[in-house]
Amino acid sequence: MRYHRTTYLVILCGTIGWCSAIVLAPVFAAEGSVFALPAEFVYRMFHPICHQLRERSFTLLDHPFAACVRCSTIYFAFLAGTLLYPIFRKIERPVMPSRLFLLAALLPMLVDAFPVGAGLYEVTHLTRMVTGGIFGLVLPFFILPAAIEAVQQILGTPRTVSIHHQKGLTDA
Amino acid sequence: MPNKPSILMPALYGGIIMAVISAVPGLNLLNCLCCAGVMFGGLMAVFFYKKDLTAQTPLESSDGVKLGALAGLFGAIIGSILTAGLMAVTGNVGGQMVKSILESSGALDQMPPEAVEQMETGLRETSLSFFTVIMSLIIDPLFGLLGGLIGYAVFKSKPGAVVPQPPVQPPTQP
Repeated sequence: MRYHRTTYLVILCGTIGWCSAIVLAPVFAAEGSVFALPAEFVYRMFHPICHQLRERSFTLLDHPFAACVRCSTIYFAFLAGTLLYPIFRKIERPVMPSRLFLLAALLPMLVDAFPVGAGLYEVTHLTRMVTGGIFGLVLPFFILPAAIEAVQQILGTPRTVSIHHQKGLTDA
Repeated sequence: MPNKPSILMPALYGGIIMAVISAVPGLNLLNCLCCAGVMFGGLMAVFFYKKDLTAQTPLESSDGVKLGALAGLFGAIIGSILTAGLMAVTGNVGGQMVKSILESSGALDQMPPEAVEQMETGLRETSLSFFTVIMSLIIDPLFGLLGGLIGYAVFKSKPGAVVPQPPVQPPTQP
């Protein structure tokens, strides 16, 4: 029980830090001078995990975000999902939704991200945001209970609760 | 509690999958989708581990964390070696591929000159930088861990699922 809230807070703070870096990169880049180095650091940090194409990224102060529209939306939706998690779930009682939710959230993004999407409809910032947002929003409901239980197991406290899949997204 | 199988080999298999996805030009574009290739490696590590488990040793979420993170570490090391080798032999094929895709789609003409210049600078890089390797050693275990947790969510046995038991040997008469 001791580590549930701590694990949740660590993940929440980590996600806030990650999302802040995405937005701070263009701010630092616009400021220049002493902020040029941190801006370059953040852009290079995100480079291996995102194509960072300018025309596929949000811009702030005439500089692109550190991640593209789709990636940024996934991260920000993940943050939103993490913030919403305690409303729908008890942190002390890790319960996972049915894995069908994960599949249902992933499929639209896969269709939109891969060339299939280009043939079916026009892939725009809106489709990238909607499909990425759905996936990012659902993901914490799988990651958080698993992470909370894992920390409990690794730090050696006796396991009192085990995760179960359930039909819906809420505890009700 | 019976001993659990070692996580080393499943994590290594997951790491190899990650490394191949990260190093092969074209395939590495998968990582542009929030490190999907790295997360897939973590997920596959859990899949391989699950095959070694029995009814007495169920899959736990801590297994997902350990497998994913270790697979990420293996993936970063093997991937860096593979990428460095491929770049030394073939040059920056992946970068050229992205450039040709952008050229053919007409997107390159719409890009601002500084973005094109940044891309050209990237294309001239024919070796891995120290920064890239260090970042891989941080990012890959992190996203591998997330993949491991997703793998746990996907491959965890359903509650009440009937797991096949090993046949019980009848007691022998003395």
